[in-house]
Amino acid sequence: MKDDAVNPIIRKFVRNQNDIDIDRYSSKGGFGELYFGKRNVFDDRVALKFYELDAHGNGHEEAQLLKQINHENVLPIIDARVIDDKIAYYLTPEMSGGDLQNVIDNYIITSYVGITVVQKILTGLNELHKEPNRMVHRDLKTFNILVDLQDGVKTYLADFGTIKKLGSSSSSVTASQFTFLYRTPEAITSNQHLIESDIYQVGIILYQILGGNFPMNSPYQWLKGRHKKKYDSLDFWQKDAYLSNYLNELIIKGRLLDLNSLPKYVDNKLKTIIRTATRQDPNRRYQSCADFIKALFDYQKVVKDWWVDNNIVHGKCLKRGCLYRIVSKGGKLIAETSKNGTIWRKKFEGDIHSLIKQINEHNCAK
Amino acid sequence: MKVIGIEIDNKRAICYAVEKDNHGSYINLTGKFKSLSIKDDYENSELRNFQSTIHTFFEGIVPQRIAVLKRQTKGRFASSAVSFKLEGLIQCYEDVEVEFVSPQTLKAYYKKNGCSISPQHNYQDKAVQLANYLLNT
Repeated sequence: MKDDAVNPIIRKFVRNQNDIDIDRYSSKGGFGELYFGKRNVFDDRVALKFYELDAHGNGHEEAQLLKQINHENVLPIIDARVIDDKIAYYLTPEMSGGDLQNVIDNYIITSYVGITVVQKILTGLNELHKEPNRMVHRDLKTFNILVDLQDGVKTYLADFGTIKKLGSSSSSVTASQFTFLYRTPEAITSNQHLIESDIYQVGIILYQILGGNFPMNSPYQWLKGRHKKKYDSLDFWQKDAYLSNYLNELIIKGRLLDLNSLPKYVDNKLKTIIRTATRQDPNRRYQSCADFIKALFDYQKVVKDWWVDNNIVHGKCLKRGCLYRIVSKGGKLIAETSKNGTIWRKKFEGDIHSLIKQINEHNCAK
Repeated sequence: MKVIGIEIDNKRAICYAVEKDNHGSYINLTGKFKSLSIKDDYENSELRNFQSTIHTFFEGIVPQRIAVLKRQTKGRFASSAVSFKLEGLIQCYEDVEVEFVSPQTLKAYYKKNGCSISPQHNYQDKAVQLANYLLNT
């Protein structure tokens, strides 16, 4: 299972299980060790997350929070047990799609599905924010969202290790230092995290899911022009500090996201939604999850579903199932339409933006 | 106390959420959620989305009372059938009982009482009156 580096107590426990056939280990468990397996009695897949307890046997906060919050978009917890005076684990269902980053990397996500996923994230987040919970997640990112692809696309908020409760008279808590690129401007300038900071992080997720450029694993790619040259000329030990300063500056100035890198079908209205969610000033962002969801709802009902496959832009009318595609023929861009995906008829001609606009406005019933 | 007054106008639900604090001052909680409309009432996913969106709004506010302005169900001046679909979706909210207040009740109330809240936009007038009524009865 490639878990040689894992604590031997956990490894022994995993191998001695009779009720669960544990067959996979993942190093993506954040602060805990993560295993997957099949429960023999129920014949379903589950995830086991092991975590450490302190000298007094405390450390169950994440499991207890998951138990406390019962919502269709929050990861459900099945059980939690202590296996040793220093180690415990909790059991949750295994999600077939894995985390959202895995889905973004390996599947074609249409604009409609992407927006729906973000709406679900916001619905789950609203459960944390609402009275009397008044909690902020502080580390929302694509790795902390789980997706189940078995029956449609179900979305779950996970990883509650960073959650904090807001005080009764306070609107902020200390910011989390965990994921650099998702840090908010207010986290950098004043080390505080607000409800609007969670909204900011969901705005980044929306940008990513729609296909915006966000090189998480190769921070070097964020550098451009003279900054790249400067970085290359630095000594090894200076590079990290330069890169983090540069990224901090991008975040503070609100230039982290390059909205022009989004696919062409992401129109100005949708870009405005992303921009509003990720504004530098928290007071100018959506003030609640409901406001953000409403903006997406209003947008979703007037546009077609879009995706890119093999460098061809595809569209679909969700109501009647009519298909559209934009192809280049004879040096010109044309939009074609089809009822069944086999016979395509030319419909419009023009530049990419006008074609997308015409398709969005096209009533295929006529 | 937090309340939400809702007027349904054809395909649009106009919401006004307000809180009366301990000092008797009114705080508008509506935010950007002034109205929510649907485009096509035969589109199942749109209706499901409408329900989920408006319920998320309710959950975020956690109101003590929610009321919808009653409309005529039959006769020459009956309201649009679509509006009753929206009304049903609003009624599906489980955390608070959704109440109904008739225009006649509101009219009678405002004959004797004034409205302490002024609407931000004219179209919110009825929803604001309803919210104010809920806070003071």
